[in-house]
Amino acid sequence: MLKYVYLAIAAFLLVLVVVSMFRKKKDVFFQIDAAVIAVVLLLRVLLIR
Amino acid sequence: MKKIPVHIITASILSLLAICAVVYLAVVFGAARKAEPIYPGEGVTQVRMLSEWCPSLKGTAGDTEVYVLDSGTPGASMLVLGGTHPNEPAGYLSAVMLVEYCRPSCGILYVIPRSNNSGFTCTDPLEASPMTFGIETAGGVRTFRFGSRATNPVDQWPDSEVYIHASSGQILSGSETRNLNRAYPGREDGTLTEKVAFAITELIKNNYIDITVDLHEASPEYTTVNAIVAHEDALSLAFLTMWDVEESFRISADESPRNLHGLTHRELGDFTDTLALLMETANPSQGRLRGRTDANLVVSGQDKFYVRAASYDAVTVPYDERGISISERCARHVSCLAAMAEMSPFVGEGREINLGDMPAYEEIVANGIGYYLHDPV
Ligand SMILES: [Zn+2]
Repeated sequence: MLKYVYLAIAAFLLVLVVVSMFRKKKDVFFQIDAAVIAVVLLLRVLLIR
Repeated sequence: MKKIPVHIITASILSLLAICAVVYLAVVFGAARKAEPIYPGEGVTQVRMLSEWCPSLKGTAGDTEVYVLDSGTPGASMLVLGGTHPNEPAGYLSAVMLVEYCRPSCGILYVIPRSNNSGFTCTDPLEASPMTFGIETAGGVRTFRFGSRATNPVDQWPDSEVYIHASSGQILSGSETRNLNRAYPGREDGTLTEKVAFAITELIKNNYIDITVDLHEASPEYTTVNAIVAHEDALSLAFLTMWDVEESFRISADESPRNLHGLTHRELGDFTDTLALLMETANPSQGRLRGRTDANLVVSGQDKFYVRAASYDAVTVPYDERGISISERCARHVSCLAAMAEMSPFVGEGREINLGDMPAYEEIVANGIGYYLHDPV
């Protein structure tokens, strides 16, 4: 059960990161940071690593 | 037509790159879930699955092969556990060598090369461990997985803040929740790691295993290394083994601490009738003082920082620039196992187990452990 709570939190964070990546104007470095964090979160949400 | 804003274009490109990275990493990490083949030799009479002794393990990452090498001549039975800690490759490789080479002439030998099968599917965070290492055989190089000390968190997650060992109430750090060698005797309805421990305990009880030996490795600076750790009931077997191999190499025999719980040499001795022993060799690739960590270090055991540490007496085993190769470490494990079998009639009920024609320590060191393994297919 707790596992799914963690997964839900990770998925929620992933959504926030991706949304802010599309909203932040002009700052490409912010977007790169967000993309890297999204990779890690996506691997976690898909239970790959 | 409305122009698409630049930041949306860059975000889209980066999203696509992120997805590509995830797909690539999924392939790399996914490959680790497929175990490399072990080729049963002529001595193997049956291949069973651990889930036979704990049905809820079936279909999980904890299920693994149990190789049975029945000589056909009644005698004692021995269980060898490799891969309790998948980052200790000599324990795993020695068990693989038994499956592929050993032909017992008396009694029954059971071998579980990947005791914590899940631990073989990942590596430990922050250790920079290689994912695989190669062993030279007569027919080419065979690749083996270098794993994690503990169960993959993907299979058992999250850890509790502290780990309370079920049968003793002992409290350890939360990360030990996934350590198979803190989980014995295990629980049928526990975590995946506890289920694996339970299945091994059941196998020992149901198959009347006389001797259980758990193969490990440890950092060269650790105090319990080049050692046999034995439950008090198995101490005489440990001493007989120590004296039997004395001409080839030095090994110490220590008694299992009575207040350290969850380990094979404590709980399997307390909860079953088996003689429980554990062996440690010195593995620089898991030591704290090591430098560059790669497959070469795993196999050669050569590390210049350990040479320096040895000059300060900071290493508890003899160490020089020749290193401690995986062949030498496997030779220790394999020749101690043969010696234990040979000495077994002198302890317990006088029942005999003989591993048959096994190479001597010096032969394994000279020929390399790959000489006794099947060629890659
Ligand atoms: Zn170990």
